[in-house]
Amino acid sequence: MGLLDKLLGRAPAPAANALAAPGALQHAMPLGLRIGARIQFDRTLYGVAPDAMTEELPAGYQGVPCYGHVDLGDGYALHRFYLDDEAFLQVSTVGGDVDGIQGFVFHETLNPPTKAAFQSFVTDNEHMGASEIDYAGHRWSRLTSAGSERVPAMVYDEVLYRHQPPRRDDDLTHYAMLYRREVPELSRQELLLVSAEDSGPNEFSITYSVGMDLNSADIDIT
Amino acid sequence: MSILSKILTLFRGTANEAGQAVVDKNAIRILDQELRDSTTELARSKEELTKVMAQRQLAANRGTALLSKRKEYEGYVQGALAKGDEALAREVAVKLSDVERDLQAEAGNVQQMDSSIGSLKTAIRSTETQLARLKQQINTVKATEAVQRAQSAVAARHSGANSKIGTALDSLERIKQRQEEQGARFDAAQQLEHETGDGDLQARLAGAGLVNDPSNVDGILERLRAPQQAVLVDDSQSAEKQKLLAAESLFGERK
Repeated sequence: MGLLDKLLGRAPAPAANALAAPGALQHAMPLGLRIGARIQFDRTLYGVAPDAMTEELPAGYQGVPCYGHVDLGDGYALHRFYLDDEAFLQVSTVGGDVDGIQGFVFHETLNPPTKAAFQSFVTDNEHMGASEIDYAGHRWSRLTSAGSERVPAMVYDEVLYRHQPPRRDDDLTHYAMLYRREVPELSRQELLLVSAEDSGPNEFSITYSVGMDLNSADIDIT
Repeated sequence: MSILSKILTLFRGTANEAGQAVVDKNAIRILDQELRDSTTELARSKEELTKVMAQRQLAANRGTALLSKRKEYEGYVQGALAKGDEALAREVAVKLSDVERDLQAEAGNVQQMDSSIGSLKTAIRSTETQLARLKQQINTVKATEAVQRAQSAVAARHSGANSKIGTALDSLERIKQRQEEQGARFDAAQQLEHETGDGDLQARLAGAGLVNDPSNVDGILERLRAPQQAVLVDDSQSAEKQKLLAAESLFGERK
């Protein structure tokens, strides 16, 4: 800031030609979360009803080694913070404001042997669009669309960032469907996210993630 | 008071007056800049207000989450007590106590920020009103200054030794004076000519009836319209005609 700028009370202008590094993160992460942050979940409910939930969010402070960003368009976005112990915290935002928080645990991962088997799962398997499905000993209802007919999977791309500062590391396409079930013992819902992930020419996987809605009082971010 | 002290005082006085003169001369420009600075400060205050409002919203969201957590814990405690699990009830009650403490602290934060937001809003509204009034007054001052500048220009144009109208009036006066002098000279020349020149001779000839007086022309015409004898008989008594007759006889025209 020059003397003249100081005399005229001008604020220092940002460097116009300062280009972001290739693959650098171009947006802010919500809730002060970041790669390298530590997250602790409130696990009191598991003590109250030990077997009520299909999966338990991990205990202790979980590190965040990887961050995934999904741009859903129209200002909607999903931010996924992958944790040390096979779980992730998902924050949905609208125009940068937090709209919802969910915690998920990877419950099961399948690897289709061929691309055709992967495509068949996406288009034909009842877990990818039926209004109700049975999984892990429970009955789950589709969350995204009302009605009893089958609906096509939601498709979105996720960009993965690692390192500090965050650098684009990978990307994958999701074909996903979200289900829920009531947990009367705890008066809350459990979520089931079925996602067929295409991350390369011959890299396919199908993941079943179980989780629940959280609020800011359920998580302690350091 | 020593001489040096007086000189210093004089110097300070002169410097102060000079500075004051510069400030007075640029008063409106300085006022404009101060107004711009105040407007910028006001915009910054509004930004600060929106930041506080955003923080208040975040605190309120945290409060809502804590309230939800409190309700959840209360349910857990009641459920544990109903099952006779005193240890679990106590464990959750400890957490509930923490949540309630956080809830109270968050409520205090929100109330404090509500108070700050209220004060900031009042201050901003007051500043906006003052600025609007100041702008209005500056506009009035500017308009008055423009009018006075115009009046000053008009006054300077139409008064004083250098006034163009004054100059024009002087010129007119000089022309009139010159014309009067010239008229006087013409009169004098005519008088001189009357006294010494052919003009005077003609006048004297006319007086002696030896040259035609233009006033006689009508008489001539009248005379010539009638038969010459009759005229002569009828007008025998006229002195003029007698003169004419004398002239005719003199010059031998009438035979």
